Amino acid sequence: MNRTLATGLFLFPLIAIGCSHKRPSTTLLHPTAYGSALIESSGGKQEGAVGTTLSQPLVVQVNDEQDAGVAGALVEFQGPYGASFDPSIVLTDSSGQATTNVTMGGIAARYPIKAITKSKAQKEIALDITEIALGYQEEMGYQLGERYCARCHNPESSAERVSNYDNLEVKPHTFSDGATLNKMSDAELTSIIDHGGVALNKSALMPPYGYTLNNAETQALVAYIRLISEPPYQAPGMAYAQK
Amino acid sequence: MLPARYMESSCGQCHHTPLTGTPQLNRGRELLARNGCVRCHTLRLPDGSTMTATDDPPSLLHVADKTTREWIYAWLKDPQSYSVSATMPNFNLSDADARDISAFLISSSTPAEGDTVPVAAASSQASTDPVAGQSLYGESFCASCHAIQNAAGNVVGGDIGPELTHIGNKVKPEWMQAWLRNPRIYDPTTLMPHYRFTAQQVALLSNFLASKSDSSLLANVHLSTATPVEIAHGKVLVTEYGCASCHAINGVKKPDNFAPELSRIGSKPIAQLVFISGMPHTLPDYISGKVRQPRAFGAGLKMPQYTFTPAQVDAITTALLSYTDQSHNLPRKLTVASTPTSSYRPAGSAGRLMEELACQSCHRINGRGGDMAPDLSMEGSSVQRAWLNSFLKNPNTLRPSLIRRMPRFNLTDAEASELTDYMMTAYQSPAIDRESMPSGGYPASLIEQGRQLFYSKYACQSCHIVDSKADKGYIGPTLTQVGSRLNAAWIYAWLMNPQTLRPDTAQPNFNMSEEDARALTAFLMTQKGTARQEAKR
Repeated sequence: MNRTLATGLFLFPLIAIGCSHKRPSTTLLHPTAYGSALIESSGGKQEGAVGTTLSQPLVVQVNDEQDAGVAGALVEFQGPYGASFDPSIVLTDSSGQATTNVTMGGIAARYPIKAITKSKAQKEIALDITEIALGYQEEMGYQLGERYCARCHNPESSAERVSNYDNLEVKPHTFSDGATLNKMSDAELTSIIDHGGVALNKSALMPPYGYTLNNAETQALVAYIRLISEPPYQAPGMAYAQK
Repeated sequence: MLPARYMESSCGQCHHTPLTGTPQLNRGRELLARNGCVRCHTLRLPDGSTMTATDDPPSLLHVADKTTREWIYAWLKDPQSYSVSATMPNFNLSDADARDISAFLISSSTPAEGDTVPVAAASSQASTDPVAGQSLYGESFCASCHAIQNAAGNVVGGDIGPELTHIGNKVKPEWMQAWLRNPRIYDPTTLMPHYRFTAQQVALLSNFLASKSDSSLLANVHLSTATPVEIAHGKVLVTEYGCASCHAINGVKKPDNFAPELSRIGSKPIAQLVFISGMPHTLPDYISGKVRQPRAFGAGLKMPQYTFTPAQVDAITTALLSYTDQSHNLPRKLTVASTPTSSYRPAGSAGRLMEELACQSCHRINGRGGDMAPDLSMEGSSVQRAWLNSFLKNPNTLRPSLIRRMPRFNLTDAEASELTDYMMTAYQSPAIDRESMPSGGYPASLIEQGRQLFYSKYACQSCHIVDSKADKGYIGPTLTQVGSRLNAAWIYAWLMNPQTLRPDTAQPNFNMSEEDARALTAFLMTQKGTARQEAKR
């Protein structure tokens, strides 16, 4: 097991060199310092259309035992097939941060991304981050959600959009609220969008959108909600698969 | 195969109107029209029309009235150093070329006729008060169209008019005063309304704007008097760079087909492309490279450097890739043609007044106009005359969640009433008969039934406020005075199917029964506002 891991680690930089479109110079970086912890600063859980570069860079920070940033540590970003990083290997800056731009692959999914740095003892420190690629259907769901739903379902206010969340007596669930929404079937979500809260004996403050949206649009909203759910949504498998 | 990031271009081969599912394509097409791309490049659409530019580059016919040669020089050298949000691209001009172009533009400028009040005449004690100037800037909602960069570096405000962060460096004080008095004298087609400011207000505002400057901006620009040779060379450069494609310039004709046509760019054979060494040899890479760094493709190229973000480059590339041979060859009935551009302008003396107030800079009417404010094509069917008249004289906001943006134009009673009459008559929907529903006199039982429906079955209070003490809905318009604002037939039609009246409204269609709609209309028509609000009006 250990040997496989070691071979994998040995092979990875070679693969990275082989696959990368970048000039080789980025792979010749040498760490001048080592940290003991890796934390996410910003840029995780972003949503972007398939194949596009996410709007915000992904920033992670290498810390020492005192939780202070370590400059000059080497951070490597790894992702599933299709995802790419510019650059994929980074030395941390003076505040201990490593910044990369993430381009999503061609498949709509949650992309598990790993940031890896090494401790002084050459022990691997890994940080798991998720980025979300929206396909056509999910992207349409996002657009419709912004137009019809976000005013109430997103508690955050911005200059362009003041949230109505605080004004509602029964609080709506955010679209990523997996703890609640994952327990509901697709049919139930569709029904609540089409017929309003009363359809499932929930708040009447949620109006029906079934006469405003067509079936494809409702399905797009459900697909979007499923993809961004936190914790991630797992579709019920077929009965024999569970046995 | 086309990379996934440009996927939406395939939709655009048939669809020439914006689609919900193709935000990137929509944005790309908007950028092509908004950044002057189609002023140099012809883009013929499959339906036979040509994409028209939606930006408003200033005329330079009277530019010497407005600004100095030094400012033009600095602007030409680097537009974004004057304002970070400038859409004018950078032509990478040499110092000599910028010197000669600025010399030509100043020498070719003719004085604008009309407003010649000297600058000092209007100044008074109050006019130097910067706080009053700033609050007038706020009260006039200048920020709806103009942005100013704040101390944190954020550009705050609208993008319809130019950014004003350093306007004091740019324009001459006498020009600023004349512009604020009546912008239509300098530029008859400007999007800026004629505000009818008093002399005192003009002085306050112009002093406030003159203070928006940065002394270091033009500190290093020293130009000696222009020689005839420089001016002549400037004219050659202006012609060569196609400046007149965007700007009106005395003595230079707007060039035709200045740059390569882009109507079928998405099918351009790779063999015809000249790539930079080291770049991938694909059409999407070529197009995005050209948009990102046009001058990298060879010496002597004229296309200027834009300041697009990577996402904007992707959007423009997506839009351009949609203009293929196939998109032109498809049978017409299989495609969705672009919406024809409307040239609607209101008629008569009320129409002239509306042009002067630039209503259509913000409001769309019969297919033409901005999208900042509500569409007014059916306003006459929607509102009551008395409300509209008082709103025009003293506008207030209808939605608690929106910042009010409609300015007060200091209209006279006669003007307000002329506008009101015109809008009540001309902007009618054939689907709504104003007389079909009474504005009052509904039985108490029906009103009570409407109240029940409002609060229970339809839970309208989640988005609307009727009782300002109990209700909190923040999304839709406040309905406390709806009975004196809207007419009953409109409310009824709206409840029955809001999307037929405003297709992009967020209000859902409840598929309401006629009976419920009638009861709700009766209830809403009783909401006439409190006595205090009435007294204020």
